[in-house]
Amino acid sequence: MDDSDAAVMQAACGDTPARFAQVFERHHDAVWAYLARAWGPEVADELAGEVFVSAFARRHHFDPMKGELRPWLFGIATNVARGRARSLGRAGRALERLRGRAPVDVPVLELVDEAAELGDRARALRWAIGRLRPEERELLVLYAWEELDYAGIAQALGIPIGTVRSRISRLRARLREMAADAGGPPEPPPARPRRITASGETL
Amino acid sequence: MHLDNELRSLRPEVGQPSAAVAAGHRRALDAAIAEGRTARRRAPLNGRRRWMLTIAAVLAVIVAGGATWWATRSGDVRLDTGPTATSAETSTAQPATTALGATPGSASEGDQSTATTVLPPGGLDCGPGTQTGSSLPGFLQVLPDEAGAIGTTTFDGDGRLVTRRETERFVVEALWPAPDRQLYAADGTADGLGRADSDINYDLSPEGQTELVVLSGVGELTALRILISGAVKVAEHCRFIQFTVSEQGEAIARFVYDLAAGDGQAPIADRSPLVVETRQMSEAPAEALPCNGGPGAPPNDDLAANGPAAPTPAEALDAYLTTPAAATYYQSGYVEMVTPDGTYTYGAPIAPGSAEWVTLVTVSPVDGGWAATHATASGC
Repeated sequence: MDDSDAAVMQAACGDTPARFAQVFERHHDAVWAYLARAWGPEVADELAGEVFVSAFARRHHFDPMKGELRPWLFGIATNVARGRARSLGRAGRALERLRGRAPVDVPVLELVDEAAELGDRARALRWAIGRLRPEERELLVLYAWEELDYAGIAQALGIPIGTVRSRISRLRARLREMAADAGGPPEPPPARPRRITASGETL
Repeated sequence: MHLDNELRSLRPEVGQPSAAVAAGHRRALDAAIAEGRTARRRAPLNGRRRWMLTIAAVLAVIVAGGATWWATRSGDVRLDTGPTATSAETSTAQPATTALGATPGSASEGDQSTATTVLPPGGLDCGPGTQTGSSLPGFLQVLPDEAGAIGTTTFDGDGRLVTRRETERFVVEALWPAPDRQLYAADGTADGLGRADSDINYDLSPEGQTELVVLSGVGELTALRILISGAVKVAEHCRFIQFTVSEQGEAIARFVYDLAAGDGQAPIADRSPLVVETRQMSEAPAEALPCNGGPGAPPNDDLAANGPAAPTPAEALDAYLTTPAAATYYQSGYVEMVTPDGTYTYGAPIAPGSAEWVTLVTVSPVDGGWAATHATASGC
């Protein structure tokens, strides 16, 4: 029996929806960890189950030709978390957070503090991460911490790959800028690309 | 150390969910699977219905945001919204007053808001609580995606919601409901992921992550994120939102977003309006560009048109373009030129902004409204 994610999803969309439980067994911890890193462990505890219920309801929308299952689940997790922020913010608070106008709670960063002796530069970056807007933090978590490739991020966030590239580029620039403002030592300039001559010499 | 490596070094070790939490999540899923089986036996959802449930619903967020803004700006002016009012079914000319939902998501049928807010003069044309028309997506939230985008929400004199997002380079304006919806050709449906030109990208994706992104070059990005949840009914004419994208003061794209687009249908309907611009002119052009084919090239059409009568000049043009005589004419992108004698001439320019016309259609008052009375066009 084909036990690939695609095969399991196909079966779950057919006559054996209970096969979807395998999706849960394989990916629950990853989805929980993603939510925990992006929004904090409490949010992960609260929402990871909802992600799989929602994914089960949407299972017919998963197209293995468009990408893998884990980014798809991360995309649903992102939506569920955003939806929670919206519902909390109906009095205005969460909406402001979505707009990036209010401070963002990043309880997960406390874990960074607990786990590591941070140097000045790392402290500055940590400070900068704490001031990212929610959508920037989602992007950071997906590319730097969950290590999805561009295609996976595009799938998870439902945006074109080109947009992923440009957003990551801006995110890096923003983090550098904020970290510098926080007093961290300047990042060394990137190495200049080397041209190779026809004779094989590098310039 | 490279920035990416530095960031990875800060990756929080969050561990794993507790066994109790994981078990609770699993129970929720098992219940959903069991319920899914039951639901399948009861009433299978077809694709469109599933879609409607998924993307269900419009505007309360934006409306509430606008109302909040309005109330804030209006100081102590106070108006308690009452029971739902009925909106006109199709008229855009006479906006009906509609109650504003107190909070996003509260616009279910029968909802009676107790919000303190202020309606625009003449009432808000579309809004949660309007109970006529078909079920449509119910919430639309338009948010700036980038820092520095300035957002405003207000109403125009006809009760339309006007939301603008502005950066140094771009202005994206959303009008709901789309004004003069009849000005948009019915057959102009575009695919969901289309490109208006080389550096503009409209990206609308399913699964509740619908996004409109206006992208131009590196570092220039403005996005309108359309977040969808809930379900309400709104009047039929409220299904369309008009977006206009301007770059450095010049409109570079205009299209309507169809909130009711179903499975397999593009939510962006008609990026190319039938009428793109209106000009007041002392005299309308009479000659279309001749065919540039040299000797033997076909002469220009010069037709005593007899188009169907319609309530408005633009609708008369629309009706004429559906006739066999106009089958080869441009179906959209016309400039409306109004002369002092009350005649409307619609011209299809050879290029945007050009004063040279490939097609000219004259629309005049007739019994029963307006009709195309003359048309001239290049013969090739």
